[in-house]
Amino acid sequence: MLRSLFWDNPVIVREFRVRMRGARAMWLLFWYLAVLSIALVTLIAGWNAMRHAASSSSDTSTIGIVAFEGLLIVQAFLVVFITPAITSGAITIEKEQRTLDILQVSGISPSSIIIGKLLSGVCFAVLLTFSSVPLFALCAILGSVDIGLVLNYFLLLCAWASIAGASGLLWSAVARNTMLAVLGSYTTVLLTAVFVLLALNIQPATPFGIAWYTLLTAVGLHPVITSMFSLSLVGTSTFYFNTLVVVLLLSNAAVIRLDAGDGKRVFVQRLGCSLFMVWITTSVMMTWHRFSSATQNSTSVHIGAIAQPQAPLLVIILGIVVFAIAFGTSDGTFDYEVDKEQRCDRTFKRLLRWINSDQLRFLHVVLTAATVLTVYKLGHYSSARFSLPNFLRYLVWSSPGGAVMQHGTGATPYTPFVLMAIMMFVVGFTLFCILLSQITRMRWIAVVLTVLWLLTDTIVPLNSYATTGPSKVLLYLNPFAMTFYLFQRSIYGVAGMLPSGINVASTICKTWLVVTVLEIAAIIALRKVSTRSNNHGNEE
Amino acid sequence: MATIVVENLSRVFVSGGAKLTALENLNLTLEAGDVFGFIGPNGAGKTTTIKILATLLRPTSGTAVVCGHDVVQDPFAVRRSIGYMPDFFGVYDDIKVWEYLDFFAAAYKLPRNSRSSVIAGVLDLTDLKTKKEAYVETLSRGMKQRLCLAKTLLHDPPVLLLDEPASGLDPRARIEIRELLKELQTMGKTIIVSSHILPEMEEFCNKVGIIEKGHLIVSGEVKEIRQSVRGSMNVELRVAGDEELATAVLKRLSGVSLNPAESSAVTAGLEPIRFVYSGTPGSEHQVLTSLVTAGVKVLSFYSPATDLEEIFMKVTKGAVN
Repeated sequence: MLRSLFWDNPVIVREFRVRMRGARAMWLLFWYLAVLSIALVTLIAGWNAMRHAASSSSDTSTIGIVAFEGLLIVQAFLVVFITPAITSGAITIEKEQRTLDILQVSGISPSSIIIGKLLSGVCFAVLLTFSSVPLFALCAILGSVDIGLVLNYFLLLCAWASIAGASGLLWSAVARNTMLAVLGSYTTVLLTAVFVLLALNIQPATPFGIAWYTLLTAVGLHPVITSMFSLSLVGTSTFYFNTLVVVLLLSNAAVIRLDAGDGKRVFVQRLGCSLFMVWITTSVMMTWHRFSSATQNSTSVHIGAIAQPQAPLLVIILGIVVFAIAFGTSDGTFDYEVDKEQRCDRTFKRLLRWINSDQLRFLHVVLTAATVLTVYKLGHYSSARFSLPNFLRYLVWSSPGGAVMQHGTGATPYTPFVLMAIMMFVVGFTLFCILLSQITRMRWIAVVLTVLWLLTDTIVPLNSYATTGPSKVLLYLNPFAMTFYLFQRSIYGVAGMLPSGINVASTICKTWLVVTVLEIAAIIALRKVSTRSNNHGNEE
Repeated sequence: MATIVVENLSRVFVSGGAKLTALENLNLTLEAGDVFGFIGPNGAGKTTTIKILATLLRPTSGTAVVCGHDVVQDPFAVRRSIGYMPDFFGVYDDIKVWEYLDFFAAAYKLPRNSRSSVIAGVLDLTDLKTKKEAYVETLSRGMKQRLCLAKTLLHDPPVLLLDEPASGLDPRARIEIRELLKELQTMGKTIIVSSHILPEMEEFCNKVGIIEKGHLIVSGEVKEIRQSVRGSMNVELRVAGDEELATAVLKRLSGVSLNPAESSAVTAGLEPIRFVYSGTPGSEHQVLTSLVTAGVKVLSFYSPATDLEEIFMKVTKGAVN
């Protein structure tokens, strides 16, 4: 799949072949470099004039960095405005030239189209950026600019170009013609710039700042958006991670738009589902953060520091999760009621194939193996060694013969659980959605039920520090909530947060059990549908 | 096995509260090897039908199955088994003919090492070999049309959906396209060709469907339609000299209606007298008998075969009335 998306993507190949043909690209390059050169000359001249005006001993060593920063700002401006100009025409021009129909019928997936267009646009921006290397080299000669700084800022430019390009592409997929798309993407870029400038000037401690903070929290995309608005985070791994998330979200929306074709309602529904999933994920991230920061000084919450992943591994894992959820739902987990008579639409069929295919079975095998391995590993840290009877007892009750894990002993290696916890959560959550939508036969009821389940069963106990009463019961009955605990503990290493009487090994076993049950139930439900629709087809 | 099964297909366009029914309860079944001529005036619903079959539009209701795959539930499988040529299409700028084909070959996921031979094959078939290195936008309209056809043949689809493949072409290019379609027919592909120009369909279609205002009025084998529409037949009569007598006799006969032009003064000349006989088929000899017994010197009594154009006129007029 990756091969057809990236390596053998016909859209990329064509764009790369064609992009530099003809005089247009050369002229663009020429004017780009011309503007940058003029800016550089003006900067140096201006700096000289300032120095003469000051007529004192300001040292010459700063000229390099001044020129460098000025050049960077001009270049950032150019890149952010050129990339959407390229991508906002990407789909609309195909519509206007009447080539989109042929392209779509050729069986190329919407994801391939969007990724191809986005990559080619960003690559052109990168090309422009790299064409300006000699000018930056000049700054380096002038002094106090080192190569690491230059590379860092180039990476930053690429990130900005990707975001601007992705928003342009989304506009291109949505808009009717190129004019509207260009207008829309420039408005977006400008509004975002204004927004960022406003956000940078807000003090979190002021009443307005608190209102602002609450607003961002309410949006739910909070961690992602806030880091975009926090200069202290620019260039950190969090920034790049969030850039990736934003780019994925934007291009995912574009993919959904392309895939929905002329079905505008389908587009809105799928986009809603996709954003809903992202909202859930980010809310969960937020909850962790609040949970963990509660132990520290709670007033020290920095706007941008929310859910800042602390390990590169975690960045990667979260990236995969968000990717999986966003692109998974673009297939429309809930969207199967398009054909009301058959109550089964193509996405559902596709899911069906996925469920029946080896992939899920493989995933299940991995999950089972991971569960066994984890329980076995945990056995080293508790009095009870791993054995089948113990494993079974774990499944039923948390205490296999007095082998209760003491939490907070400090020696327990929580990190291996992280990947498993995420996998279980994603698989379980998807299965739960499928099952619900299958039982209720109404997409929106399924969505509402899922939300209710998540809110009551996961977030409520987490927020109320479930140690007593009904929320503890909820927590105990909900293995997914437990995965958050594990996750949270493995990240922050917070001791003593686990409510007493809850056994890690047992929780993992129960999670596995729930996932398995969900999986079997979903498979049975789906089989029923498939045989019914097959019979339906045979009768005809 | 039926390659294309369309059942009760309807499509309603809603724009600004106004509803436009482009297609209503269309039913169609085509077997492998069928060449189906889809005939109708502009805006009758041909393009809508073909676009639904090509998975580009969703049907409002009804089902369409192509090669065993439903167009709504499994569009990607459908796309793999069809070749679609839209009525209007563009080409990319700054791209060479072989690059254009290579682009689509990659889109169809043909294996990398077999692409060049496949491209050579379709270029050969569509007679574009010499243009391999030319830029696409420099090709003539007919060549572009053929290039588009070459593109649809890359993955060797069992079904071809061709929307007005010959529109806007000069006679020569039109004949070339027609020859090409005949060749594809011999390759056993199921082809749907839409057109509003009738004579060009007659030569290679074994089935036709006539559509007007979203309704498929007539569809089936060309022969069958011809017979069913034949209820009344056109007759051309040539007589030696006495046209007035002939018209007088004809006017007396039941089941005979003269064309308006003929019923007035018939100019003596070479023009035959045309009339429509609507009696039982096979009994038109009675007219000839009466003419001869009345002393009309009949030179020829001839009924030209009903062509598609005539069928079309009859059928569509019926719908309007």
